[in-house]
Amino acid sequence: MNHFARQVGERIRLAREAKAMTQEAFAKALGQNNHQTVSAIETGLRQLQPSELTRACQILQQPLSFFTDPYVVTDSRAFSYRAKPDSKDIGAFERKAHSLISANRRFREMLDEPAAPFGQQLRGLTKQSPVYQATAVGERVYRALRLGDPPALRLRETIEAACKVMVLFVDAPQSISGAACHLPDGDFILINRTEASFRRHFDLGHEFFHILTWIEMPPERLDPELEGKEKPKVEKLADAFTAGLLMPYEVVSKRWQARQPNLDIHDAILETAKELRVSGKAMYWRLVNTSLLSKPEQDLVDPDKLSRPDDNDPSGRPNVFNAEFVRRLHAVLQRGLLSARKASELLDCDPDDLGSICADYGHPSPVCAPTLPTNAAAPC
Amino acid sequence: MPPRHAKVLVDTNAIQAAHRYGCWNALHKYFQLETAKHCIEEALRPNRKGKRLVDRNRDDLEKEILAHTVTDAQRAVLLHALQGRVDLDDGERDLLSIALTIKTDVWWLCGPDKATIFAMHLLGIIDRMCSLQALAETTGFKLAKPEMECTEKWLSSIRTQLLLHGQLI
Repeated sequence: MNHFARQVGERIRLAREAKAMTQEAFAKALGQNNHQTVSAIETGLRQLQPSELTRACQILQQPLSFFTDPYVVTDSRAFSYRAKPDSKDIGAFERKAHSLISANRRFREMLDEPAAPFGQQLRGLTKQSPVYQATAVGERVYRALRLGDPPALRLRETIEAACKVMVLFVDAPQSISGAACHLPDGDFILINRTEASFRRHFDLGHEFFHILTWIEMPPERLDPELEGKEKPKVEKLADAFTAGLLMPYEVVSKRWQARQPNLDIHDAILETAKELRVSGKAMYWRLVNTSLLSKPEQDLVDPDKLSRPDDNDPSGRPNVFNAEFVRRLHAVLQRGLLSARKASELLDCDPDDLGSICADYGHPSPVCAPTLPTNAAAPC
Repeated sequence: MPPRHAKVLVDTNAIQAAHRYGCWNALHKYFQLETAKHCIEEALRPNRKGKRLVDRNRDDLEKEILAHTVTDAQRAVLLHALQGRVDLDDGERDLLSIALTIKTDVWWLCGPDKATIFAMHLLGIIDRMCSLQALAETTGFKLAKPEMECTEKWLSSIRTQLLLHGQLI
């Protein structure tokens, strides 16, 4: 059975079921005698002829691309966004996210690479669990993954290597921090690379929680960035998990106790936050919840004085996407399995940007990069 | 090489490359250039940085090249033939659909893209492909410092790889 036939078959079934049409009814409309033919089509055992495919488009009222375009993501409700509640960018961003995720899935198929298995789940944590339990789980995961000190710096590579979750850095609107995507053949985390580095770290931990708990606690499609009591319980658990993951007690207490004496309380909190690559507010709440910040010290803190600039991260803004994704992109372009124009459409860039995307990860340019000045008016 | 007034199919990449090298006028006067409507749209669309790669208006361009409308039935024939082995953009897909419809006496101007060449190989029409360099030279126009992907040498090496191995490595 070839992949194209299986893909067309699966989508025929999806479109038929969406129209609440039986196999018998579809067979009849297609001019076939019995439903076994449709069954064979839907499982990819029998291939539709071009004229049958055109007819199927009419019967099922779908464009040809729905059946033939490998980049169409048909899995429904697979996303959860971390964004402002009133964000108007979700729709456009989802199309972009769809393109990237389906591109990666397709590249893997074309290169005949296996889907990433991912079975790790957080046992014992439920929606009813107290938030401190989520923090404790975060600390357990920190230790199990051997993230080191500070944990934020190795989080991304560890998630990718140990948990087989693909983390993609993307240019997203300011209203969107990131997204988690759970699909049967793999998990994805998309992070807005234009955000401050400490925010990216926190978003990554937060989305990682959703991936780990997707089955037990499926997140809402939109995870609004609300404060305090308004925040849904799963989101509170995700934040608490991230606090334990990025600011484990053993690391925070060691650094807090080693702080300079007589330092202003705000400066002390900000300094520790900087060392652990988290925000001032996140560090403040972690110190409060672990009782490392005494009650009299808490009374001295003005939350408005806890904001801080972005770190001068030695690695700077991360390259767009990630090494694995770009390796696959480069390979399918090199082998002529994907055209540069199609790639640029999927990645929302110009064809000549593909060269610099590949160069960021040490691959030679797979496309022609025009360097000549435009000379349309040259006499011929 | 295609003779004078031969039908030559050109995709978006080829339209843009021919304008970049200034050989467009030579080509459209010498050959009967044809394309798909999608390719015209793509060629005239500014890139994401707002730069126009073909600085013409649609009416002028369509006077110099015949733009075909492609039906789903034509696309289905192509997609069935390719069996999902190559992923192309809409313009490339439509132009290949036309190539299959008018199989004989048609040539294809190679744009700098391996995927369309591979698709032509799978469709058994790779021998009808010609480079921008060779096509321009047929009209008497010599490209100044052509990019590697526009040369006959490059096309020939890709074609040889495909003929020998059936795939690009």
